[in-house]
Amino acid sequence: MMTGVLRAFVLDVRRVASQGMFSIVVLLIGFPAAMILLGSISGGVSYMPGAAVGGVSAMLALLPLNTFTFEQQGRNNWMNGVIPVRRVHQVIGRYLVMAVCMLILALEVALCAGAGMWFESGTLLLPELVVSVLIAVVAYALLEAVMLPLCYRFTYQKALLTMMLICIGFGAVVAAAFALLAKLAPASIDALISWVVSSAEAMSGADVIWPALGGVVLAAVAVAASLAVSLHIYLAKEF
Amino acid sequence: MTIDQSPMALSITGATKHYDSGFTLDDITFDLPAGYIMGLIGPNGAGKSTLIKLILNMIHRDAGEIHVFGLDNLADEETVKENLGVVFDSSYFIETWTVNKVEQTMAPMYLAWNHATFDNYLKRFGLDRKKRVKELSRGMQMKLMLAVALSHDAKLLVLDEPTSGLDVLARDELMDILQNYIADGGRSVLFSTHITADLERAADFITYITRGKLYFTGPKDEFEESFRLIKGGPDDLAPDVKGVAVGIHRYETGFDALVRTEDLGKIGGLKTEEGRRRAAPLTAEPASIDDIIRLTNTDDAARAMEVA
Repeated sequence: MMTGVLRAFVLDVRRVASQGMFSIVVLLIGFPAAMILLGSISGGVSYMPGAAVGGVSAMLALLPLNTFTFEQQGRNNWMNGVIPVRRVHQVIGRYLVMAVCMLILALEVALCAGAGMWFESGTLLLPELVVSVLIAVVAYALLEAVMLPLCYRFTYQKALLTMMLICIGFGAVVAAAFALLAKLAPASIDALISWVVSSAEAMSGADVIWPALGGVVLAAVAVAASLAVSLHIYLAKEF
Repeated sequence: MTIDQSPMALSITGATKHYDSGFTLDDITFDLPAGYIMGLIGPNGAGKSTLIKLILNMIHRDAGEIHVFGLDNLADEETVKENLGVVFDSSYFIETWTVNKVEQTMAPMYLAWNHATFDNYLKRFGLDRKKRVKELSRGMQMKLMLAVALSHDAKLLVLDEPTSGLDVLARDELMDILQNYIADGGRSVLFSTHITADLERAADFITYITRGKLYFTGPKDEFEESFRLIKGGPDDLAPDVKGVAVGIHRYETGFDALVRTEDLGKIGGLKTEEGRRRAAPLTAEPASIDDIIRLTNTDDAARAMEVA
């Protein structure tokens, strides 16, 4: 099994790096380094790590999805029928690409946020750093958990469109819920926001563990469900 | 899991695939013995590529079994594909890859990848390692796929219309390569084509599919010997000819009718190949593979197949 998964992983890495590794390295290392450096020189350390993390997150979110764009180029998907790798292992290999991207993201967020703290206060606040990393990783896992099955089901363009519609739909539901609350019980919105803010502020290092664990479990469940859905779609696929 | 010393390189039994479009590849059964080349022929849309995709598990079969050197193509997919070399009619590599990158990508896919063999084929085919796939002509892209297919000690080559983009010299070279490839007696080739000159040159066996049904499978010579082409004038198409013809093409000055060799005796008024005239000016000539394909796909033949 491991051989098949590793082969699929190697093939997907080749697909991702089809336009060359240079641009990827520049965006993953050069861009955040430049941002942090710029922040430290200009004194804008409070927002520069955020900008760096944002850029890197976007780049890493796209990398596993790029496998689909290259696969859908010409007849490259036929290669999946030629190589001695089972379909199950091909899907697991692709999720391994996502997992590696997630690890890189965790590292990048830790470095960028850590550098920001260091330049701003001269110390590293470990609980805050862990929270930053976990928020980034969980958000990334949730996004990819939705996007990967969509890309297996549809073309890349259709998958992006579907994701956009999902986001718009989700936003509309939240907006509608708030609008309803505002009409029925206006005070409840202020109370809800106050509760969230005060809960976050009141959290000590130990308190952070439970929401963090909850986030990790949520991400793990989402990725597991996503893998199951992707397998279901890809095993039935014909090309 | 290792491949056994099965005398059959490829064994297909009752392979069936239905499409929502209405097309059905219906109950295909044939064997390709080890050490031989089989041509898979048929008109466009006959089901040749569907069959190849079934072998590669690119599409799901509805019934039947496929074995490669005794191994089930689904249960033992990885071992089967380690031993398969595949060439399609168009490149499956990413266009921005260089030839060198193609090797870097494909080498880790196979346990038996041989860099020296690949390098030799690149030199033989005149493929530059620095060139990108998109910069190669269609023929050169086919040669690149062939170089990959031949560089991991594959025991069975499966080629889908490999000669369609090639000039006559390149086709000739490909046929030479295929002949050398099977020379050790343990390797085999299945190639689909609509260029029947390639079959005349290289194929030992022929499997002919039309409208999703198996029409013939067996030795090439037997295929050609199985049919005769009856020719006659516009008024010579008698009921006895119509009765036994598997396909008829009428034209202004006469007709061509394809008849099974064993049915020749049922036709009166036949001038045989040796020129022995019986009564009427009908002639019986050897049928070429093109004739057989052409005349088994006329409207008459289609109706006959539907009835059958």
